[in-house]
Amino acid sequence: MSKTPSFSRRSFLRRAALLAAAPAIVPASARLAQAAPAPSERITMAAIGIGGRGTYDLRWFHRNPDVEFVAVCDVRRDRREAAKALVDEQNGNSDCAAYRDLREMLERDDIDAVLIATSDRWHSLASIMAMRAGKDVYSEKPLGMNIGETMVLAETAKETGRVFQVGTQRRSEANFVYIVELARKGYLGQLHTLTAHIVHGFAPHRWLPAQPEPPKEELDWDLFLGPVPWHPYNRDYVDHRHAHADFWAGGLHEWGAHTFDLCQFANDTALTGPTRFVFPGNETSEGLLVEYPSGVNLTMTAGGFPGTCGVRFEGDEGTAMCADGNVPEVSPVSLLGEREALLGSYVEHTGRSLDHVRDFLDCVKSRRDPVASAEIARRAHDICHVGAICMALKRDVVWDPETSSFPGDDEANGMRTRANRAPYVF
Amino acid sequence: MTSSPKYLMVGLVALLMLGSALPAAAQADEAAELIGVLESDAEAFDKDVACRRLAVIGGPDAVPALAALLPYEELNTSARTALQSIGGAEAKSALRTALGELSGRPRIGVIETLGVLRDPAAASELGAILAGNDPDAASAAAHALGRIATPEAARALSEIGLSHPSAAVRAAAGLGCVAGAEALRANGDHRGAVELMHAVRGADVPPNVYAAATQQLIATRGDAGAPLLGQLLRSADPEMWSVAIGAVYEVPGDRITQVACQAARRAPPSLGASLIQALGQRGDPAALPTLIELSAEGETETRVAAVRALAQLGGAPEVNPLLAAALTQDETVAVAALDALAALEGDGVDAALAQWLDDPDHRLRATAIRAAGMRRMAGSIPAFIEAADAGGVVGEAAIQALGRTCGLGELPDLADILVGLSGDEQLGLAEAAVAAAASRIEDKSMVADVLVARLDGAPADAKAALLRLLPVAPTSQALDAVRDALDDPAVSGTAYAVLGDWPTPEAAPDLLALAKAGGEHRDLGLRGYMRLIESPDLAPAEKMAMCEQAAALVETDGERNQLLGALATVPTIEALRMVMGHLDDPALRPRACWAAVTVAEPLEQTHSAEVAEALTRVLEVMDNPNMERRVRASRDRAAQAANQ
Repeated sequence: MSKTPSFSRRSFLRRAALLAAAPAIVPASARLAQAAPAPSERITMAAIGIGGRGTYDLRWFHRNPDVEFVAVCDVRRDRREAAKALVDEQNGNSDCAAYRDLREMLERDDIDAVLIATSDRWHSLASIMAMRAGKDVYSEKPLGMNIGETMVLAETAKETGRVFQVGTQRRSEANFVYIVELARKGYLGQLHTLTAHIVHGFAPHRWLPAQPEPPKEELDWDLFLGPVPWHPYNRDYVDHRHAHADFWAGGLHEWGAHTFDLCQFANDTALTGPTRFVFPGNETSEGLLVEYPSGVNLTMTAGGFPGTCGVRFEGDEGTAMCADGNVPEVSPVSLLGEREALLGSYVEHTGRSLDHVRDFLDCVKSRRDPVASAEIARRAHDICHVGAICMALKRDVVWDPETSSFPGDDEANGMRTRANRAPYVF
Repeated sequence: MTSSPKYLMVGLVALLMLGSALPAAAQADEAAELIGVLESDAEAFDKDVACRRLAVIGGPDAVPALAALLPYEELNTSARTALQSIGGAEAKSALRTALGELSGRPRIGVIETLGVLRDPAAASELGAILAGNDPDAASAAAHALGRIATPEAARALSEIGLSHPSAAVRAAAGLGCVAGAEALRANGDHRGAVELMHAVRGADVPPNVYAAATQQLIATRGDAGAPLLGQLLRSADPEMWSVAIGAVYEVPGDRITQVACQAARRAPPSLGASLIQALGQRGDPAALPTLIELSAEGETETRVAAVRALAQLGGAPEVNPLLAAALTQDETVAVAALDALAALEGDGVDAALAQWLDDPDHRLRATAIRAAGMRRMAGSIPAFIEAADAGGVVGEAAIQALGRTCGLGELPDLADILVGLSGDEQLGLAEAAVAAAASRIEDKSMVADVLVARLDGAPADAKAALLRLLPVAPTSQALDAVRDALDDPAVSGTAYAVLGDWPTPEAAPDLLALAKAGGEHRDLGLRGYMRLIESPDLAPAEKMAMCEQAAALVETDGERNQLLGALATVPTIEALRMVMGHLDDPALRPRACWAAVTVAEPLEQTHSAEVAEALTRVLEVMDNPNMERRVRASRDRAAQAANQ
């Protein structure tokens, strides 16, 4: 596989830094003029796992003129070739390299950042591998399959100093930001109830009948499995990943990764979390209640919103609700008049874009943490994981967000993590 | 060991739900049973499920049976999951024993688990693996030793790993050292952490690993790391710049702030902007003088970054520097400064700004008024009203500020200002201001009162503006005013346009009459009428009656397509029948297919047979693969309902 030399952000930074370190006898004005950002400054990227969602993400990244994809990676030949074609079309050449094995791709030193849009089971390990290889990472949600994975991911982001953003894009969508800011800035009074939209469902664990493995070039089954415990090859695992426990994180993660995160954001608990999960007495997780030490409650529901991924925040002076594709509903209605000012203030105070991918790209350049950083994201994902454990145990559980454990509860603690299949280990 | 598809129905979650609520004694019995499964010649899948359950309820007595499964690739992972959940001396000992007996993938898995369990007794054996010639195992050992993070583990990493002949192992050892240093630092062993990071920085490791070690070094040293930070900020290495900026975000300390401020003053804009942003987010007020200085002069990029940082870090004392920046000739800086003034937080900011609202300098006064308006300083409304009379830039700023601030009490004043203005630009500003204010006021009838009361006697331009504003408060009184204006030659064009876009179904009879009458307002009337069919305020029967009226009037494909859009909002079987009538026309077919499935979905249970038949027909003619799944699903649900 040939490398594609290109003028990346790294080389840009290298040149700019050289200019910054120029001898003091050079007039400052001359140094500053030379160091102006080159028009070709761009972030060189690679994409890993490009199916339907990955293609959507790839197109989103392509809207940014300072991004160039130079490589794609997928264990499936059809997807690999389709992704390469998409990138080549965007770049107007045929230079995009296509890889089956992400480890080979991550060895390239001309790649600044990676987009990870594999299905759930690979998100955390691919992110960790990429960060260890010195790449910044934009990964689709969920962050990981269990509490242990997300903790290691957050630790890795901290230790390696890489920029990591999880694809909870509603964190950066104006309508959601607006109602979050209503809550954070006190327009709703004292918050007491948060409602988060979820999808019902947990997939069973099963070994399907073994089928002959396809050639590795067509579909590399070993890499497809990755860290997942061994399963016999069966095409159904490929085509219906949501039907199998080790391949799908579960219904709570599906939308909860977004909606719990928004609730955490609104509740100013982004770097901590709730402490008690109340089993709802059913098998769907409908009505699962999550309690914060402050007295704020978060309730999970699959209904009651006009669109997908809805959240509702209720305070003693007002309420705010938003779901995909709908204008936020607020009470009192006069709060709608605050939208523009609140969004302006948010952008000015945080310096963030109201575009999730753009926020990531800006952070790759500025080296600050993105809005959905690994540490923030793992806290929201804890609610998914702990909620799933509560449902599996069919009883209430007490959670300590500081230690990321269940105090005195061996059963629940035994479900926090899972070993990875070698050699795909942390 | 065999794998079998025999037990497809048993799942972890299902199993846990069945068994997890059992009392302790029953769990012990269940665990014993599961151990028996592991020790039997049961199918591999049964053993996999047993391992998963033992991860939750197992104890030390399950360890031997679990350890016996480690050599088998199919079960190694699930067995290790159970062993790492059980933990304790027995599990660790069994894993260490396995380390010496296994090779290849199973051994790599065991290495990971010993790292997860942070078993200090494994450090020596992992060190030996680190020294070996299996790079995958050595790399896994490096990461495991980093987690174990005892002095012995640190020694193995630095003395063996960092000088390994394999570059990949050296890189893994470097990252293991960084993780280990983090743990040492957390345990108070700063010296050990610093030594480890020096070892990495002195080794032949990739730039990103060197950078991670440098970051850890500064974090460990805290404020004492400021000189190193200074070096990084003078460095030619991009990775080091990244590390330095990361440190400015994360590492507290006065000297860190001081060094970063010095660097920000001399950095080129392309890099300095990131550093300035970090200073703003860092939250140390000691950076304010530097930020004010940088906001006042220099390259645009630097000044904008400084202004934004002031918005994040500043308070009332920063109002004047930001006002000065907002008055600069550099428009980009000026706009950023105005936004910063709007966002500035803290006690006294409003008061600091208010003192400039009547300043004799027009530019300064206008800028202060703009900022005050953006801050929604309702207490300054009287000052805005007074300023509106000043005209020029001050008057314009005041009108905009009123639009952002005034409520029902001040709306008459703002409407009076509008009536008193002339010229498209000024009127446009005032119209936008009234619209913004009116949209915030919940009592729309009061808004309509204010606007309608000013129609009589208003100059034509102002009257047209007031008419355009009436849909913001679409009461009957407001609609009557529009109807009256249709006959006023000075504003009749505006009145017809307003009527055509009227937001409530109350205007439907007027629009239908226009459509039926033909002539120059026929198109406006018919489009407006069909638009109103989509109103959620209408009952399905009312909507259907309107669709029938419209169907008799449509003439062009564009109009028929609009009607199909309207029909899509009518969940009745009559609507579906009308939609189906357009399916054969190629120009209408795409819209008709979409409308058909949209209407059909709510009718799947109540009119199942007809819906199934209609959607089968849609599937025959449609040419939109993206929608096909939706149509097929609806058709199948209806067909299923019809067969029940």
